[in-house]
Parts: sequence; C-alpha cells; structure tokens
Amino acid sequence: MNGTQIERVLELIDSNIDASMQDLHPLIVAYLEKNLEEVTRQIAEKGSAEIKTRLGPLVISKEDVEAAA
Amino acid sequence: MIALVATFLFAAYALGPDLLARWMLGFVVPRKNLVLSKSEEITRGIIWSIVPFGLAWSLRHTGLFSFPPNAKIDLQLFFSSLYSESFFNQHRDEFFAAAGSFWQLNLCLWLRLYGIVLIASLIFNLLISRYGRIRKWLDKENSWSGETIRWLLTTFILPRIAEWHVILSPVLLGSKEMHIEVDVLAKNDILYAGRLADKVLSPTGELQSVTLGKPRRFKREEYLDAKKAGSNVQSDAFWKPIPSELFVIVGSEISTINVRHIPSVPQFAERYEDIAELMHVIKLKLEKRKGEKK
Repeated sequence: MNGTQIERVLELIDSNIDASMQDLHPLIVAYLEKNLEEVTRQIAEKGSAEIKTRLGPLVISKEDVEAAA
Repeated sequence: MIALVATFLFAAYALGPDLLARWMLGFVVPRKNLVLSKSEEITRGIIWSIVPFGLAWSLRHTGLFSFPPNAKIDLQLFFSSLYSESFFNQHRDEFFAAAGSFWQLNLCLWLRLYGIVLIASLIFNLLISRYGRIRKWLDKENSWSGETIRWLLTTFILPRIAEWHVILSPVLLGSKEMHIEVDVLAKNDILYAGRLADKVLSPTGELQSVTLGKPRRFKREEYLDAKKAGSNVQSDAFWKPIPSELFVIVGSEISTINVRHIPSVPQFAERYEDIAELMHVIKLKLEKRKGEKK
C-alpha cells in the first residue's frame, strides 16, 4: 500500500467509527441503565468495570467516570 | 588506492545515511522490506542523502569540528598523490599534512550529515507513532501548511511502514484513549473476537500471528441451531469467553480480519448527553459510597 491507499483506509475507518459509535450508543445506555449498581460496585471495588457490547467490551475506569461526568 | 577511497566515500555519503535512517525506523515500526536491485538501492540511498548532505554542507563552518581552511588545495594534493606515485614521492610531507586536513573535512561533514539524519529519523519515528493523532489535528487546522505536512507524511512516511503494522497497531488511532477490537475468522470457520494485544510480522512484512486479549469465540453451530428452531435469537448471547489472557492465532490460519477502532467511554460521553448523565450518576454514587465508608 502506498500513502494514498493508506489514507483511503483511514477515511473508511473514520466513517466506520461514526457508525460504530451510533451502533454502540443505545447498547451502552441500555447496559448502564440495567446494570448501573453493578458497574458502580465494580468501579468502587476493582477500579474499573466492563460494559459488554456486541462490538466488544468497553472498559470504564474511575478516571473515565471523572472525565465523562 | 584512489578507487578504494572513492568507494569508501561513496558508501559513507550515499549509502550510510539511508542505512542509519532505516535502522532508526526499525525501533518504532516494522519497516516494509522491499526487494530492490543494487542500482535501485544506490539510487534510493543517493536521493535520501542529498538533502541531509546539502544541509550538512551549509553548516560546515558552524560549531565544533568545522571545515578546515584551505580544504580545496589540500583535497587536490591528497587525491593527486593517490592518483600519481611520482607526485606522491615528490610531495610526501605535504601529502600527510593534506591527509590530516582530508580527515578533518570528512569528519566535519559526517558529524553534521549523520547528526541531521539521526534527528530527522527521530522526528519521523515520532510522526509515525502518533500519525493518527497528528492527522486528526491537521484535519482541524485545515490550512495550507497542514495540507502540505499531510501530503509529506502520506508520500514519504507511510509507504515505508509494513501494511499490517499500519492496520494492526495504534498508529492510526485518532486518540490514545481508543483501542482496537478485532474479529478473526479462522480458515476452519471459527470466529474469534477480542482486543488486539499484539501481532508478529515476518521480515517481509507478512502477518505471522495475532494475539488477542480477553478473547471470545462465537458458538456458530449453536446459533444456527437456535435460528433453525425459529426462536428470536440475539447473536450477542452466543459469544463464549475463552479462559485466557492472551490468545494467539497463527497468521496462516486466518481467513479474514475485521478491525474496529473503539472510542473510550469519555469520548462517547462527549458526543452523547445521555451517557454523560449516566456517568454523572455513577460519579455521585461512587462519592456516596466513599462517604459511607468514612
């Protein structure tokens, strides 16, 4: 692959990240609403928790909560 | 003798800088190994040494180990003595004085040339390792200089990296908080997924293995059976965690790879208000827990 081809791949990834975020958004919200207490407990006890999604687990740490809240 | 010196100088000035640049690049990324002919290697070496040499030449009178005075006369004397034995016999003392000047001249240029190549290689390495983030930043800038830098990176930096490294490394990630998730379909039709932990490339840049963290396997047969039974099945329920921290899949067994760049939770919260609100609730709950403990 030359640089131009790699750039095309990057543009494709960029567009797919947007699509992935849109896909994951309702899954994250649903998971958090259903498992809010468990996620909080795991973060408090272990320092991080996993949000299980179809596209792979998302790890959320205390620092993430601070940054995102 | 003159041929020997000329060969040595050609190697030091034309081939050495490219070799040093390649060696330095190897510390950061698996370089793409191209099979080039001797003439292509030499041409490439010359091209890559012209600019640093031009800079070294312009800096020859600056700083320590500077260019010796009367270098031109000493050079003429030195090469004339190498070329003609009778000239050498007549100017033996002057030859050795000129040889010292010849060494000083080359040392001056080598130090500057290789210093410039070293600094440029370090900058290249930095640009490569942070390419994704630099690209995002350049996108925001949207200026003439940004476009030029992007073109330079695309044309000269990216093609030197092995393709698999570009695809399966954080090089392209737009932020350091993101991570890469991959789905790997093996040739025996088993689908694995997990967080990309590492990969091994061959010296020619081919993929030898992929290592997954927190691997999962898709129970395809059970999923198909459930589907045949007619029930309303969700594929999510058929992912089975593999009890392993690092799971290695050999490259020759891989049929396809699906790569996803997954943003972090704060990035989701930045974009979606409802996630930010949920994060706020978790934060309050964590603070409440902390207060209760005290």
